[in-house]
Amino acid sequence: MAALLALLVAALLVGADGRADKRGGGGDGAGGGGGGRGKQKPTITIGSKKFTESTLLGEMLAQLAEAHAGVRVVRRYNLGGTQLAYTALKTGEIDCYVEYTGTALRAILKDKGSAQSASAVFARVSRAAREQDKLLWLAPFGFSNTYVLIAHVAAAKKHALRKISDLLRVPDLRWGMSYEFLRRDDGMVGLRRAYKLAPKNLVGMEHDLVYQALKNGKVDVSDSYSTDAKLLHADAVILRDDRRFFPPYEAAPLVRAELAARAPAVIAAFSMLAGRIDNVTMRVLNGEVELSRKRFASAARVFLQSRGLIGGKRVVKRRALGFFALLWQRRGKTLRLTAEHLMLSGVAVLAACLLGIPIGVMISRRPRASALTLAAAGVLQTIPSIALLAFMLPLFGVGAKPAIFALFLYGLLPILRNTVTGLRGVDPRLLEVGTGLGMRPMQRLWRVELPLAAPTILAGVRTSMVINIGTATLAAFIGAGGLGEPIVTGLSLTDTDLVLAGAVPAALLAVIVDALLAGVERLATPRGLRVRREHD
Amino acid sequence: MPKRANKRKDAMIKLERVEKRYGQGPYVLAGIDLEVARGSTMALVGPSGCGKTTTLKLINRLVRPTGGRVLVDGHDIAQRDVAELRRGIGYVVQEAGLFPHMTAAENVDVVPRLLGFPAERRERRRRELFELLGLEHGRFADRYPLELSGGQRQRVGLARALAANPEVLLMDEPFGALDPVIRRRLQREFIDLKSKLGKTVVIVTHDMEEAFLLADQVAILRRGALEQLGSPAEIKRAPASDFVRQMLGHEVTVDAGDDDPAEETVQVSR
Ligand SMILES: Nc1ncnc2c1ncn2[C@@H]1O[C@H](COP(=O)(O)OP(=O)(O)O)[C@@H](O)[C@H]1O
Ligand SMILES: [Mg+2]
Repeated sequence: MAALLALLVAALLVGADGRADKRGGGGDGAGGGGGGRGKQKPTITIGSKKFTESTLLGEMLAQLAEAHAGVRVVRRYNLGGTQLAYTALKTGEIDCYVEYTGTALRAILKDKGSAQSASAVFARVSRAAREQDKLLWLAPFGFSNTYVLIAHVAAAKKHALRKISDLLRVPDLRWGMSYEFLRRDDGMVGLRRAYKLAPKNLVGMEHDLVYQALKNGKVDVSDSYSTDAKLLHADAVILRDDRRFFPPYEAAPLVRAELAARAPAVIAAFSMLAGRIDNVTMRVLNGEVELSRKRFASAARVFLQSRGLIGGKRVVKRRALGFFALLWQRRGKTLRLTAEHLMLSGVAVLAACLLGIPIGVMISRRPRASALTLAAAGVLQTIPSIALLAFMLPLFGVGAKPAIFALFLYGLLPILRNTVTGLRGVDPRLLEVGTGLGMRPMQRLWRVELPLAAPTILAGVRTSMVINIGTATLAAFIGAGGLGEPIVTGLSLTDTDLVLAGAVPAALLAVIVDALLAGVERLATPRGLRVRREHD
Repeated sequence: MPKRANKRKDAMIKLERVEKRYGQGPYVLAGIDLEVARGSTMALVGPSGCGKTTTLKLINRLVRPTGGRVLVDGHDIAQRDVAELRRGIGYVVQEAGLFPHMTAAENVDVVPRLLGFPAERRERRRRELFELLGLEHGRFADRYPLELSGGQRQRVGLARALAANPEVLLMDEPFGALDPVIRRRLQREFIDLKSKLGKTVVIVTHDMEEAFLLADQVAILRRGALEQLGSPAEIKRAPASDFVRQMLGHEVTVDAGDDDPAEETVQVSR
């Protein structure tokens, strides 16, 4: 029965999808967004700030929402600067736009503090947004649009420049910096201080002219930002920020919290981009619009199709295959995803054992500590898995780490509880005999208590593992991979076969692991507890 | 030579004004003085709840006295490493208290293992004990407690207590759970064993007949105090009180304040 968990999770998500449509329909009328054709089609509004990257990412989110969440999208791009976009979001004029963590920290929270790690900044701004403005930061796309220092390749080669502190060795380089960078605290002003830089030859210039000046050999060092498309073609190298001066500017969808309730399918659709765009990819995408003069809509569509995130011809063709053919076609991939899945839940359960069993041992003879610990672990269990995964984002960012941590927290309770129950169930007379024969506490633990509690403890490990295999299908929402990947994608594409291509292997995996662990449990049951009474 | 003779007579176990209360509860033992001579057997008798088990556990420090002190072989046991003390004292409980996840052999080997005896020494000792207790080693060594009868379990329990060759043996109602026939047999074997081994034994029972049969000295407890102490003959000849007479099975008017008279009646009628 527990083995059906993975399927159940998938079913729940499909259910949530359906509900979202109906509820969204009501919201449509209230919003007064104008009915169009289908009265049942809810509307969301996506905004952007006035620059290429913001609009391009906004357009991607719009297309994902249209393709997978069954909503109509109103586009309100080029809203201007940060303040305008943020206010529009707060007041409900728009439901979503793409924001940068560093920007939110400085421009919205007015925090001038020194640079922190990307995850710390994300944690800070997402908590503030949630608590103060009822806004949610979704998982970042995977790139950070920070300032970078660049050097001309020739100069870099000549002076072996790889990182910013290398510039200290060569004080007479020619610096050509953009005006804004020169003025900013998180630009040249702070940079001088952080690295004790004192360039002798420094001029200011418009950012647009920077690359020209580099190309013409007029300057050796300049500034840019990490997703600038022109970096792809410039004769420049990026100098590593070895003192970690530039603050992180991770980009992520920023949405109104009520959207999650009104249209959860939209959140799921947005999450498909979590961790999918790195710095270089973003540079290329910006280049499609700025250098190749493609339109936002087509640049966004081509990218999403190339990643299989929205339907193209390929998708249609594959759907005609049918479930079993699809499963066969994906066998290699399914194997890899299964391994990933097992890794996620395996590492999580292992960690839960390493922590849960010793803690269980320590608290088992203390009723009050037991009650408290079990209650705390029980509370963790009641947090919906999706929410728990979402809480992990600010702590760990996207990927396997937050997923494993969340799964570990989920796996803890059954192991803790069974360790405590198992040890408490040991006959107190046997404990007294052990002590009376001269066992020290540790000897008694290893020779009497743990062997007698082993079957119960292992049953807890088994429960934990099976729960985790089910829950790990949700990890794909935060970019952790595993068998949830086809489920999440399939849900977004309303491709039932693809959902099953993830759900069925996950369910099978749960059944098999359950059976294997049941075997281990039997083996670990001391033979003396298994034998039947036989009188002589 | 005279020194040795002297030592034979002195007390192996000595309780000095021992008091015990659990937490803030009533005094379970109210100032007990007791001496068990080296090589002799003392029985603690009395109705259920009178403090027999508590007194026994004071000797291997499973119970710590609230007041007074306990000496074993002349040393205050509060000063000794408690695990080492216990490894030198055999301990047998009702139903044997065998570890169900260990075979008979593993159960018997527990204390020798704790003491770090090598395998062949453990096995030699175990075979010796099995023979002494009338258990066929080849047949029973690898059986789990659940595969043994009650009498066999009790023999294994006794073997376990004797495995490290302790000088002192504590037994808490060792034959209490056995049916009368097996019980008689084990009692007779025990008398045999006692004379062979020369251990100092304290045995708890609530059966007066058993106490008289097995012990050199009998201590009758009543509500945490010593009611009478003496050899079986002395007690039979001159019971110190109505309570003792009643324990002996004589007709007396029941003292309404006594602990658990129902239990007593059962014992007496046996
Ligand atoms: N661990 C304990 N905590 C509190 N009271 C106890 C404990 N052990 C024994 N007692 C009490 O001490 C008294 C004597 O018990 P015990 O020595 O076991 O008697 P006996 O062995 O003679 O039947 C009883 O009233 C019993 O309830
Ligand atoms: Mg008792």
